[in-house]
Amino acid sequence: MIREIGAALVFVACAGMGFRIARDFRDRPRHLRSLTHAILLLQAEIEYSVTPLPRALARVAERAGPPADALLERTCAALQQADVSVEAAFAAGIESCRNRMALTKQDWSVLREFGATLGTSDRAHQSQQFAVVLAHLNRLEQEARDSQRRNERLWQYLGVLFGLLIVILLY
Amino acid sequence: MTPEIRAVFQIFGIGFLVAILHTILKQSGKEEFAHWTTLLGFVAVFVIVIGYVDRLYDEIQRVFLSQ
Repeated sequence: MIREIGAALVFVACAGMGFRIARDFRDRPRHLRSLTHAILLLQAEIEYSVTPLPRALARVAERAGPPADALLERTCAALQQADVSVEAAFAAGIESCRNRMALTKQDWSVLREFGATLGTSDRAHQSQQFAVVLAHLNRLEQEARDSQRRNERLWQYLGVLFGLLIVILLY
Repeated sequence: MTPEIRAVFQIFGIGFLVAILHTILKQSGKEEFAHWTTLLGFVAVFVIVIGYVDRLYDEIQRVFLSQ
């Protein structure tokens, strides 16, 4: 009896680990897409509606889908505090969303670079920065889709099979 | 189920799973991991078999050499 329960626990744990890793691979392109969308909205707010940055962030956070809206919301909230630079506010937003998004270090560094340029120049330069970050995000999304295609199914199988293997070895 | 039959099924299961793992890893372009898994499965089966071979030799010694 205890043997069966133990075997089931080991199997479920291994399979769960596999599915957890697979989920990160599945979510990353989706999250990058959501960020791209949010940054496009932000670009529209800044370039065409000429909204000041805190208001623009709040409005985009309302319209953007999850999970990018959380990032912008946190950034906006951090920006409300006295004497905080946009870069620091953006970094704070990134830090508080870090665990909830399936992004890699590279993705975060692109975002952080973008946050550092936000609100430091006039509109013409800012639009160049938008173009740069959008190109970056598109490239990363392509890459993420590629690695999803290769890795998602693989990790699901790996988790289940290694679970079975350990159970058989120990049974 | 006697321990011997259990071992046979165990080795069968390990071989089966390692074969599947090898195919899947190879398909997704991770050949070196595929080879490592195969080696790992081989070693695992070896460890199981060695115990039985050890017992076999003990038995042979007991039957033929214990005057």
